[in-house]
Amino acid sequence: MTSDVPAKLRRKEKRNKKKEIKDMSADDINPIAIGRKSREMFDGFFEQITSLTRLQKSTGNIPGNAGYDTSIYDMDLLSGDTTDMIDANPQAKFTTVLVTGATGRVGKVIVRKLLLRGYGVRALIRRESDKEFLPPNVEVFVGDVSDLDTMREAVKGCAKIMYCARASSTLTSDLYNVEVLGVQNACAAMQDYFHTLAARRAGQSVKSKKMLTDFKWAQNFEGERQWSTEFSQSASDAAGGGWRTASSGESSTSAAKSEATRRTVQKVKFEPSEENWKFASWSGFVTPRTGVATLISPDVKILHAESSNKAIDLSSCEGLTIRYKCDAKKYSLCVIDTDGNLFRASMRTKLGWKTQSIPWSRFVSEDVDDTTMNSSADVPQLDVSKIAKIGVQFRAKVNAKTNQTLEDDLAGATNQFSLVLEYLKANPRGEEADIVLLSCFGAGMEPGEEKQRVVKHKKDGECALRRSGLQYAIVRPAVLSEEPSGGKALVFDQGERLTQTISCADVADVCVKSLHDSEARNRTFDVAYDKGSEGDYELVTQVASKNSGNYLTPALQPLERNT
Amino acid sequence: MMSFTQTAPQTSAFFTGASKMMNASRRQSSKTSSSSSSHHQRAAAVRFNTIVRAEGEESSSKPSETPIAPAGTPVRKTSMLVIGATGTLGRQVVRRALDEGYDVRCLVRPRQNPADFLRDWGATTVSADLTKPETLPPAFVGIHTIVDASTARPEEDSYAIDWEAKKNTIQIAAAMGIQKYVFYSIDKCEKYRDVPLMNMKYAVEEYLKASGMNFVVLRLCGFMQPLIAGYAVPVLEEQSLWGTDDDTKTAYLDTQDVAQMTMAAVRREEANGKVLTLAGPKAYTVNQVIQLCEKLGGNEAKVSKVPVLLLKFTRGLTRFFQWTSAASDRLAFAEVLSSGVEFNSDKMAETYEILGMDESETTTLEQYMEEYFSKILKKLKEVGGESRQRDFYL
Repeated sequence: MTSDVPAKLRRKEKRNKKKEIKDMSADDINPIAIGRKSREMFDGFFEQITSLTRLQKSTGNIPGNAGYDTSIYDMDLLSGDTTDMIDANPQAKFTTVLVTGATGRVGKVIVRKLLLRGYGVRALIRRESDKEFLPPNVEVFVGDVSDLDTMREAVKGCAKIMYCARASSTLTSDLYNVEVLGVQNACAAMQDYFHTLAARRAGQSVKSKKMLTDFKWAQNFEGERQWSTEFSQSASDAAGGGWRTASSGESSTSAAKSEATRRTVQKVKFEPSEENWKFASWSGFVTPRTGVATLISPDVKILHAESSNKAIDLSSCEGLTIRYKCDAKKYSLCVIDTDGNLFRASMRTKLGWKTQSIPWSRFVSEDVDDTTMNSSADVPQLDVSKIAKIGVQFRAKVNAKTNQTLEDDLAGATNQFSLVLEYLKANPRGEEADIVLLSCFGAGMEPGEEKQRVVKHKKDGECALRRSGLQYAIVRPAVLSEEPSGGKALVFDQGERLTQTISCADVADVCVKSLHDSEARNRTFDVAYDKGSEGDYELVTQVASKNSGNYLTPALQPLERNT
Repeated sequence: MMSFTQTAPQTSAFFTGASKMMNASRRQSSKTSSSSSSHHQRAAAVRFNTIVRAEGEESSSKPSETPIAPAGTPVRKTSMLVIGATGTLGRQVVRRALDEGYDVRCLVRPRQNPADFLRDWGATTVSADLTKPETLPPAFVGIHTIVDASTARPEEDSYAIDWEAKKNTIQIAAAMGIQKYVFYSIDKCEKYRDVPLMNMKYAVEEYLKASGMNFVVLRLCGFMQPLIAGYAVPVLEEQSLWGTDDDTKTAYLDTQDVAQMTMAAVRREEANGKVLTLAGPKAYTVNQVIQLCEKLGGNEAKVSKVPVLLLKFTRGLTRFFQWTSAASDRLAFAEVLSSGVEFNSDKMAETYEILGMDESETTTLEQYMEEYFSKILKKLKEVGGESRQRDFYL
């Protein structure tokens, strides 16, 4: 095959040259057609020859006359123009992410990263004029995060929210609107959207919390309703409706006489609230110092929302949410397993209404000492699948003063309590974060009133997100800096100890990775660059380049969940 | 041949024009982008000394006058300009840079719809023509790093783009206080000065060194991407292939890896002022590449081998006539091929060290080809299924 090539070439060369001469000398023979043809042939050949020696070879240009469908051989199959870049999630193509604060320092990098990975990106911006800072294929919504209607519109069609909006000033109103109300709106809008979707297929949104008991309706716990009859048997020894109130005096060192007095004074009511008849009120008083009252539900199997007749599988839930109004005394939420072990988690009470979310991990056995938290080996561990009952516990406050008489205790009213309950819900568990919140803990800020205000609002926003029942990831970078990412080790921590800087681009990378990382789900974590030599941190993983490996999963594993 | 001297009046005239442009654009930019108007350039008042260098001359004639110290807000480190951003390598650099948090500006040819995909990724585009230096300065305002991945297309005038335009770009960049300039050259270009492109690349390297700017030169051996169109597709389609019988070896690199290395070079101070050769893990001859494609594609390739001697002969022939001298230049690379050179680097370990990267991260040609073939064969199967169905209806 090779042998005939030089001959061919030479022949063509010659012929071509002859034609050139002919063209000039004898026009009348009209060799133009022949000449053009031979020229084309020669050119094609020459093209091949020169392409062999070309230094810059063009990639894409497969000749159109190649005789086969060139579109199949998409040159960009590997060059990354398709979405299979770096660490893209296969779901990216079908996922639209709403980014608030898309024009911010971190937000703009997040937008680009999402686009490069093939996500659909929607941005909520405040000013129409900011549109020019965003890539043209970003869907733009103009509006404010503090406006729920705007948020509802923006969330429609989005699977996830990246909340990077930040108050532009430290004015309280600004902080509240963006850091707290904005987050609340984002959660509410997202829940609403999922409800709409669920309603369309006549089901229940998997993202919403599952109602265990709605205390609004008195008949739920005292009427003829199916499940209330069951626990009316156990309610015989206490006041109130279907709920059994168990009061117990702990062993005390007091004299037997005073002990007897204590027992007689214990009294508890459980009834529709007087001031607000809609909710259940649980009030009364127990033995001073030692008294403990526990309000226990019927078996969890019959606790469920009215609309669904299926028992809620608590083991597929993250924890419990309770809404209540109390007198700021010491209450705990407790669960009792099938073996009768009681686990409790203290409710951080304050005066007035409060919604509180408590993950399973916060429940500890009542055998564990409350103050020292030293758990010995034989202390039972909570197995969520074995939960039989749920309750609320009140403990009389142990006064710091010793040598107190009974009268003192009674006068101090530390044994009286009053709790109004609105609902008890179970938090659903998901696979991935629905909302990634970019927060901060005030690192690098001047200590003072301003920092306190900012941090307080950030925290309130975080709490709102945790309560929402949505899956979340809260990323709290230490001090943001403006530099390219890569090349520096990252430290992940909890507890607001970090003081180093971190580049916006690295934060953006962590945020984007958190979207699909099951380890990031329901975690709050601080992130910063490593200090270097004197680092106090354990190396959990080493990735050759940041884009090739997933550093987030191993880095977050040691950190606590549901924080 | 090529001259490295240029006439002084031309340059100074050009620079007056340039500084006017710069002032104008500065005013404009401070108006439009209030938040990020940290643009600061030290160009306007600086008189730039023309770099006059003759071939072989020692690099003693550095600009005697260094630009005035900057005042005001420094340019942000994350601002980058990519020249040649639509190219094979340029687009990968843009992607990588965007992903690493740079604000990427891309210099594109003035067109109706210039490079939409770049803006879809989040880069900004500015129109400028490399062959018209007066269009460049506005594009350089507020830029910290320039990555120059431009080169002439086969149909374009190589001299104008790869030498004249580069020279202008470097001058303007130096005058405007660009703080890092990344330039892509060719491996062993200093050895093959007969090949026009390699000569120009080498000259630009030297020009850059003399500019006084902080630079990184990345010398490339070969990209894997063109191998697809050159060998893989013809093998799959059983088209005839043109090959040479030389045993020139090339250590091919994936452009994505080159982009990643570029980012490391931009980021790391260790790379400043260095000329680094970027080579793939292993060097291959063309025949080895074809064999690999045959193995993976399961087809026998129809190779038409062109002896290097023929190429040399053709070159000799074309050189003879004036009207074919351009073609002769194109064939000059045959000389390199016939010398059986290996485009590879024995200093890659050092390079990886400088770039702070790990060699195991780099894609090998086998991996690259395997991935391509697995994808394309799957795709062809799908397409084949469809077409058979169509046959049924016909």
